Amino acid sequence: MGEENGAARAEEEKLWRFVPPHEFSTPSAPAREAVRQGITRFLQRFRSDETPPSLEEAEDPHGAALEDAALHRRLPPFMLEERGARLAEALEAAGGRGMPVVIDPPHAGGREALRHLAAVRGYRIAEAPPRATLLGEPETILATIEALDAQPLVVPALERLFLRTPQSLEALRLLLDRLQERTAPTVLGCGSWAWRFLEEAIEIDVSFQARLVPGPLDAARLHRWFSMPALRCVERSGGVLVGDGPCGDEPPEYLRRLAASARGSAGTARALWGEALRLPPPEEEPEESAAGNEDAEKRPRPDLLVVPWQQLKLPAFPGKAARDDLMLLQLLLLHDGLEETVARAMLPFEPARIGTRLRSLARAGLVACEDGLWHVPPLAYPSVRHELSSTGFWVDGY
Amino acid sequence: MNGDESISARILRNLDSSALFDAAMVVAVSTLAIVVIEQVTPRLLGHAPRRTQHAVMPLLPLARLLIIVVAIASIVPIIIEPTIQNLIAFLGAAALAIGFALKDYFSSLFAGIVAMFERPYRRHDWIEIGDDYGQVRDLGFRAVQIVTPDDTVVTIPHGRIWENNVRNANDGAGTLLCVADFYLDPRHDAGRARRALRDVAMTSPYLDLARPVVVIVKERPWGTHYRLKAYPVDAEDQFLFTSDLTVRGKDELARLGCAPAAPPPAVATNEG
Repeated sequence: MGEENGAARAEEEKLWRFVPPHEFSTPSAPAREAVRQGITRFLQRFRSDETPPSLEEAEDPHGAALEDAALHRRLPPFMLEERGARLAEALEAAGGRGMPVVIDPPHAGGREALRHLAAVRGYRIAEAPPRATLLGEPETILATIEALDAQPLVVPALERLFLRTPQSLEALRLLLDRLQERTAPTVLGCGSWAWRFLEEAIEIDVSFQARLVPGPLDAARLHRWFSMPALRCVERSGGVLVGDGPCGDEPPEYLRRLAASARGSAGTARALWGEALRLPPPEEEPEESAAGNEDAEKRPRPDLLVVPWQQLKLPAFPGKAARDDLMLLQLLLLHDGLEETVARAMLPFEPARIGTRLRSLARAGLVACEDGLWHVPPLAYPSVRHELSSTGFWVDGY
Repeated sequence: MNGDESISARILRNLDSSALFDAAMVVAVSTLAIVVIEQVTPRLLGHAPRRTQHAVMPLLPLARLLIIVVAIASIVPIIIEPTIQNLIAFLGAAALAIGFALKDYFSSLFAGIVAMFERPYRRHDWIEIGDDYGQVRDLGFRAVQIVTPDDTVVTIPHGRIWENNVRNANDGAGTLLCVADFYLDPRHDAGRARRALRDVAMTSPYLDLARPVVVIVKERPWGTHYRLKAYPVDAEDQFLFTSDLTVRGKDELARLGCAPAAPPPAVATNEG
């Protein structure tokens, strides 16, 4: 009994976990922070300016942001090997209940863990075809799967194998039937937004019972992750967490806020943390008294500063969000990004308007374009999800 | 003459400048409170989540009624001597005036009070009274103002609720049921067409995913009638949503090779 409890506790304390959906609980924010966020968002609705504020133009009084290379060194490692190992353990434990599915909230890292697992085990990966192909010939995906029939397979991102169109849904039903008929080991990955949609559209949850979600990173886990070698400076110079006291064994309140804002998603939390890190201002010439200088010498100079949570500038909607924008953002989340041409074909708006709205949202930092694919970046995700939820749009379950 | 003077003297107080000032102050404060409620509160709530709007907006007419009742109750004792006889005389005179001259007006006022408690319609509801369909823009004491889909404001006295049925499409909720009709030649795969129409609704960006999507099929003498029923995220998108369902539904049915029905004119006219 004692051993069982110990094993359960050890499992719970692991940094990376994959848990059944019913065990997923979003980290909660301190009550004071929840009230502050509510008031801030309420006041934001009264901002009447039509043009979204550009994040690039905003002045930052908290010191210089880190350059990409320096930031990369300071951010915690992705730890794909450990995540892949935890996923393998979870899949073993979930065995016997049919084909396993990893439901992946945005930027939570489930897809990367699946790819790592496939690489380690030598499974083939079902790569997504170009989205434009799915518009005209959605059944293309069937040929991809059938070609790999006898081999172990990982489908890392189901949301990239279909579009929200009737023809594509029809092809997706056939694809899922084919997948379930496979005798070779197969692991399915699906974005949490696509999963939520498919639950209603084709009742996918009835067919796939063995479901796992990347375990949410709470403040304690973030504390451990952020304190890894790449960011040891946090431990060394207690004053790094501005306004929150020195780092001890207990996670600072700052990380509780961060965990809640990121909804436990590793990628979102990491991006928020990276956004908050600043280089300390250059040391000033000593002009103070001798006693003051002694104090200053005793106090270690922090390698990095962290912007106070309340002053962290994150992408936000300028006033009340337009419904067209929200539909566009929801579509991007559903498919984990889309090309502009595909979005134009899928939304019932004036095609030219899609491009205008995308560029306007990009100026506010709410979307970003990489290799022609528009997506909601991790920094913007908390704000976008909240706006969709508060205006009555459906959102994912995580 | 002296008798009349003595009666009015018995009922009315001596209205000196102080009493008139008090009455004016009550009117001013009440008016200000009503302006705040009618103008400022909807603007504030306009930025609030729709759930909050639907919870608070229906209370505004009630608050306005309360202010007016309190104002009248404050002014009457300032103007008349508040004895039983005086009150009976005052109310009797008021009842006579209402009965003869302002019957319809007061009927609508009372209907307005009933509407506040029964809530057959609230602000932002989509309602149909008689031949008029539209979204409730304002709830007054005497009448309700709706804006039709053609952007025409129609003022309907509350008194209409005594004689007419009130159809409320969303009844305080943020959404309402939309229906798109399709008429097909009967020679087609009905199961496939039905599933395709459900997928059409499921893939509409206007759809409220949490509510059911239903496709009802009915065989008619001239063909097959499909009714695709679904809810948009926002009731204000109902016409865009229905249009989206219709346009994409037609495309999808054409892709499946379903031919449209061609009902004989006589049958089409009788179809409800």
